[in-house]
Amino acid sequence: MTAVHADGALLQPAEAKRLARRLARSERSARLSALLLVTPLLLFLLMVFIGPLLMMLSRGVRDAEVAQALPATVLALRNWRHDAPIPDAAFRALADDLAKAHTPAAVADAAARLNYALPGLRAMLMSARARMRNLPVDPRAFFVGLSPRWDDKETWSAIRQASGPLTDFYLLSALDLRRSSTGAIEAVPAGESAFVQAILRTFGISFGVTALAILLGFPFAYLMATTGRRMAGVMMLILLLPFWTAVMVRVLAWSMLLGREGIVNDGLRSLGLLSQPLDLLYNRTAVLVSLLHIFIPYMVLPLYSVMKTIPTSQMRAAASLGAPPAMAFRRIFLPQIVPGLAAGSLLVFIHSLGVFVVPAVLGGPREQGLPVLVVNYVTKTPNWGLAAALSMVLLVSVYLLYWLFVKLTKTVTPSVSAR
Amino acid sequence: MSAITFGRTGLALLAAVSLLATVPVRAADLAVSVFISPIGEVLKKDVLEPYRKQSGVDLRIDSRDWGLGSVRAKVEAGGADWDIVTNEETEVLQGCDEGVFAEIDKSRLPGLADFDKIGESYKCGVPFIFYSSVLAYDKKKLKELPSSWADLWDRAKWPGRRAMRKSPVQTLEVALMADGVARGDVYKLLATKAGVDRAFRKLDEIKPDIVWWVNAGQSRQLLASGEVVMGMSYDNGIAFFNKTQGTDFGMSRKDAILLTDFWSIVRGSRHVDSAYKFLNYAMRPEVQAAVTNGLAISTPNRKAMAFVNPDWKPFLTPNPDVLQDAIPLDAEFWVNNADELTRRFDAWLAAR
Repeated sequence: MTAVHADGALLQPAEAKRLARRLARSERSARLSALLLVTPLLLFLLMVFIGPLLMMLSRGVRDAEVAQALPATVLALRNWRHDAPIPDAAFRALADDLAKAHTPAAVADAAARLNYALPGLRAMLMSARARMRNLPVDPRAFFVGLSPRWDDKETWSAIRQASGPLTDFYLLSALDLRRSSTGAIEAVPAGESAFVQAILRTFGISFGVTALAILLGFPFAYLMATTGRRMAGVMMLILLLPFWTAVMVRVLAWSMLLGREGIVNDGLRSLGLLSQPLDLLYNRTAVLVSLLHIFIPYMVLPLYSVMKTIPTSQMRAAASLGAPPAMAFRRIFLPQIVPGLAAGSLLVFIHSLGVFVVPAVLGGPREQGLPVLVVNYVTKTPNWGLAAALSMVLLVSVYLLYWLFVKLTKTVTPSVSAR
Repeated sequence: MSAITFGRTGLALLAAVSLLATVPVRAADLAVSVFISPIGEVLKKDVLEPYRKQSGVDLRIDSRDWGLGSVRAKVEAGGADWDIVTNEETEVLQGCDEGVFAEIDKSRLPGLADFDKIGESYKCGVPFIFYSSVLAYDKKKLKELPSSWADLWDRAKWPGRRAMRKSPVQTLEVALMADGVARGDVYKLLATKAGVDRAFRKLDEIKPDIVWWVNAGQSRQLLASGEVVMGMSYDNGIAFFNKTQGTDFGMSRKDAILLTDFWSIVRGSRHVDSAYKFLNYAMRPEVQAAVTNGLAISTPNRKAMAFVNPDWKPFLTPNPDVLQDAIPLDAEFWVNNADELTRRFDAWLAAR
């Protein structure tokens, strides 16, 4: 390694090494003190955000309920395969396990978990437990007498597949997949589950909002950056005014505007343009309009901040060198605002993904995205494993998209600015 | 950082987080959580506040959204800081099985002798109101009045959008009854795949015209604003809305679905005695009547009728012991099938 003194003389290799080491040391201490400064924030985030988030997400792959409630059964089924007959030992072990469960609560979680995989199994298990006064002489006859489904291999496969400790059951469900009783991954029959569609729909709506925000926000930001100071101030006020109102209020305002007896319909009818009111609510347009209204400042502000830094003289210089306006825009203006465009797009896109209120109030059934489903599975039909898996899918796909975005904008910016 | 130290740090972190989670909000003699809804407000004003004044108990009043999730989360976190919550049938049933709610010792509630049979079979709940899901419409806007679930499907006679509850619960029952299935056979049929298919096929007929609501207030708002020509709603709300908002809503009770709400004691409550004292108070005829008067909603306490505002009497849900036209919600069926049918319902909603 050779280095050059300021006066141009070469450094001795040993001296250069020493210098490099000192530089590294001083940099390290600077980094350390910087780290120390952000430690409180990191700890805070870890405790109130990342920690609970990971705990919740881990529910999407954990599978402990069945092994906890029915330990002997899980053991008895360990070596059983779908092509072999159901072993008598399994019936006996299940009878043992259920006899030990003195309250319904002891098997309720396991029953709920098994019901996700095979509807009806909850009732079968709960009623078998309730009838288990003392150990039956012939467990197989006892169970099959209660329900012929205890003689199905499907039933026992479901129990074996839920033995844990980890499972791909919830993640597969979130992607409309499942394991057949032989263990192969297969698609859930059409019409019985539509999570993938919900994921695509969520992304579709967010893409739509982002595209519209660029389309409407770009000219607005451009005008604001190039016009006089007073005009720019007024435009900024118009842009920020909606921020003073709560999102919920804005959403309800839209529902009043767009209703069948709302201002838009009444206005059009009193002008004689309509005879029958239009159904403007509970569809894609209503959701897009409202989301756009909420998120467009997030697009305009970053765009404005980069546009403001580009001197107008640059475009004039390009023109004087013979570039037609379209070319000057493409080669001079656009490359310089890419960072603002990227930041604005990401902000709008990611915010729109997580919105729950707008589709719930203004959308129809085809606007209900992933967040609505997650909320439903957390509170209404409590299936936290599935809720966690759906969140995981959303999180991973957002990250992939973010990564793609950063990759794309990185390759765009240097290649253009190098010219 | 090595794996071991990371493990330790992680543990310490977990401990810190769980400590944060279990710090009690406020130590009270009794904490009661009621639905976020008009009925929740009535309970606060006419039951909880008077009880606080009368008994001097340090009472904490909370609100909760529907669904077992919020209560289960509290119980699992170890600090059951609610002692009593309000519940719907499926929540009581599932929460009872899962050990979220404690079994009610009915010998400690002598007032139950005056109660109708409604909700009697539920081990972990004391019923306090009942009401029903009916077909509702705005009399001012219709020339001819609908009279059955089948009319909800009659698009030729009543063109326009219809309001329904965004859940398979009740909706599938209504679809089957509209398709001519007798009340008594609805759940028998829904237990089969063919029955469920039939319900969805029936819903397909009016799918493009359905506006889905999530809470009951929306169902009345949709009617009042003319967004829909008719729809599913709750009978008590219709009567109450007419009285307080000056609307002229009507309803058909034929094949109504009967619903009951309960008080439940959260398992692990440290104030069980205090909880029973409160339940005994809440069950008194005059207290029950105050709830009825607050929202035109029926009470299971027979003696309470003497204190009920006569204006409301014609609107109350008829007592199911005499009522022949209603079908009680089969909570057991829904606890067993909600997961599968909700998934299918969501998929059906999303499909064109």
